[in-house]
Amino acid sequence: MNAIMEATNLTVAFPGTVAVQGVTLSIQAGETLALVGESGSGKSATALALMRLLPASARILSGRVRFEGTDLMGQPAAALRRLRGKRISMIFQEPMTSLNPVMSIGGQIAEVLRQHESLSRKQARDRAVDLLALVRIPDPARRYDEFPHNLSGGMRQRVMIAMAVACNPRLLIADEPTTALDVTIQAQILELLDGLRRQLSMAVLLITHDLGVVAQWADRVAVMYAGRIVEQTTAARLFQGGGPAHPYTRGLLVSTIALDAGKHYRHARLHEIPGTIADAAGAPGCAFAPRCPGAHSDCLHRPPPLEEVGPGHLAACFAPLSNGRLSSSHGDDDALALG
Amino acid sequence: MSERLHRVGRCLRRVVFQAVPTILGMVILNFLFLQLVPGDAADVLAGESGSATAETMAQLRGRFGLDQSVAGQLLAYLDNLAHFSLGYSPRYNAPVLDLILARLPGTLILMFGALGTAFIVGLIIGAIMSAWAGKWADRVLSVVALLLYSTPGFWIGLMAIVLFSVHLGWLPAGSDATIGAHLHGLDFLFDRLRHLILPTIALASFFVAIYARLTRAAMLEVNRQDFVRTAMAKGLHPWRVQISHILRNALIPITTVAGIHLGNLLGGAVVVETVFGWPGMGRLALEAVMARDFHVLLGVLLLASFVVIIANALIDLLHAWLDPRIEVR
Repeated sequence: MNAIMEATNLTVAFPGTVAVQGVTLSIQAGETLALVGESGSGKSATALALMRLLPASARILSGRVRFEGTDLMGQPAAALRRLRGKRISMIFQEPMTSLNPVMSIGGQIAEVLRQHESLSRKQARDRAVDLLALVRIPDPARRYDEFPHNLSGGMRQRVMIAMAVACNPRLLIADEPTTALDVTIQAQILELLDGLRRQLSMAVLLITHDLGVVAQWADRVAVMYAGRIVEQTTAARLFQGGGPAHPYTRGLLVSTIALDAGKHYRHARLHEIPGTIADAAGAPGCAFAPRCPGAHSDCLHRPPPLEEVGPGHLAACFAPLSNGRLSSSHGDDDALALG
Repeated sequence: MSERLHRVGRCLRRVVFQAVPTILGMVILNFLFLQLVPGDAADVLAGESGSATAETMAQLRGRFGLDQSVAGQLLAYLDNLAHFSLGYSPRYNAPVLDLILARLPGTLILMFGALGTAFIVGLIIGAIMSAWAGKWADRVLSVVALLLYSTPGFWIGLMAIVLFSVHLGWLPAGSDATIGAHLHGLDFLFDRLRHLILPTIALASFFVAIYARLTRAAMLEVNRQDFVRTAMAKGLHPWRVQISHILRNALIPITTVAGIHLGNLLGGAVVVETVFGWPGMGRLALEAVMARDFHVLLGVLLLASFVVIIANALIDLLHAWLDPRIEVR
């Protein structure tokens, strides 16, 4: 396999909590890996750790991150700066606040170009205008001098994307890029991102909590729960093939509203996962055990390791589901109907 | 570009429209307040000569229009203003405008010199404090700022004279130029600058402390914003992020306060001008109060209000340039 980014056993602590516990994941060149999980599951902390951009209060306790063959953990700050914005770049959740309000949008794009490439002011400006056109901002030459407050949320996220792809990065980390946008804009932004991924042959780490987005845009999926990766598989296998192996993933899938939502509301209530993510805080066993319909005594004592349950399919569960169903010991009453 | 000039023009027109009634109200109020002060210029002149009779005093009052009713005096003063005259000083026996214009450059140099110094030094200290917030550099500078904040400017001025003029002999202790030196060109400029250093330090010290604290707080506030993380993700050097992203945003609250300080500075200048024998408007105003030379005092107050109004307009324009979200209306 041709992994451009590999994180091994990554553990990140914030004061008082361990946000990421031994995360291992790899991103192949050119693919879209979706990192899924609810708020507080450690998705963003993982992404920031990959960029080595964690806030000063956070610490990486263990693990290594290899990017294009070099270990990022041992790199001096100057070497990391040469990677950031050039080889790895990132876009954030809030396009409203992620752009500097007192700098023109074109200036903010030109800034990253001039940081990493020896361009004159004029050349940087021309490239920035081209980039604005690339992310399909109309009338880019005029827009160059506008400020973020002149632009809508979707337009601002396009500017963020232009900034991120300015130096042809190998990996783009998109941290919930569409969460703050309304649904019609979401699709446009994701389509743009996917188009650019093909055009520039870069890999995308798409962080989201929206399984609909995952199903449509991701090649592979990693599901995070309480700082750990609980399941990792291909999108095709998760949504069309064998279905989820971890009860948490299954819970997420049945909690989404299907296209036949009208019928759904009339006939049944929306499924939910009982309890909250904080239920297992500090417990020694599987963090999902208190909310898991199939938990048994083993689950409460030690965390299950991430093991292969099928071809290219990893799950951290002592009693993985098969074909989306709980194994026979759990009874057949809560079978999951997929498709 | 023409759009921008157009906006500046609109802004200036608005300033003028607001300034005229403001200044008129200020003149009338100042005039009426000064009538409450006991004694007039004739009393002071008579007291100083020590041999005035009732006739000479009445004659003096008649000459300077002091024998008229308050309303009559006010009307006469406003009539003077309408003819661009600030009246006549009985004490200096000269037109008030000439007196003030002779002193105005000295005060402006001291004021803007001190404010500029305070702004730049405060900004640098504040930026260092925020970059190492909580570390030893921050703590040491916090103590320094607290000392500067709580020490009166005149005391710092006196101590600076003792150290730099008396003991070390590096800098002159007073006045604004070497008397009788007849310097030209660069020598003249350096001589002026040497005389400016100590009064500037005395006047700026308090404001340095304020701007340092303000810059520290504003930069730490901006530091938490999302766009700072974006800038770091671009691979910019931390100092570049500090200066072109954080400081640039932090400048907006700092310049607001600096604009308000311009008025305060005129008051502080009186004390510092007295300590250093600096020939400025502050001392002229003080002497005018002691001599009950109200036309001079009114003239100084009028000029001061002009300076404040112009400075505020400049700050408005500066804001519009610093923050594109602020529309110059």
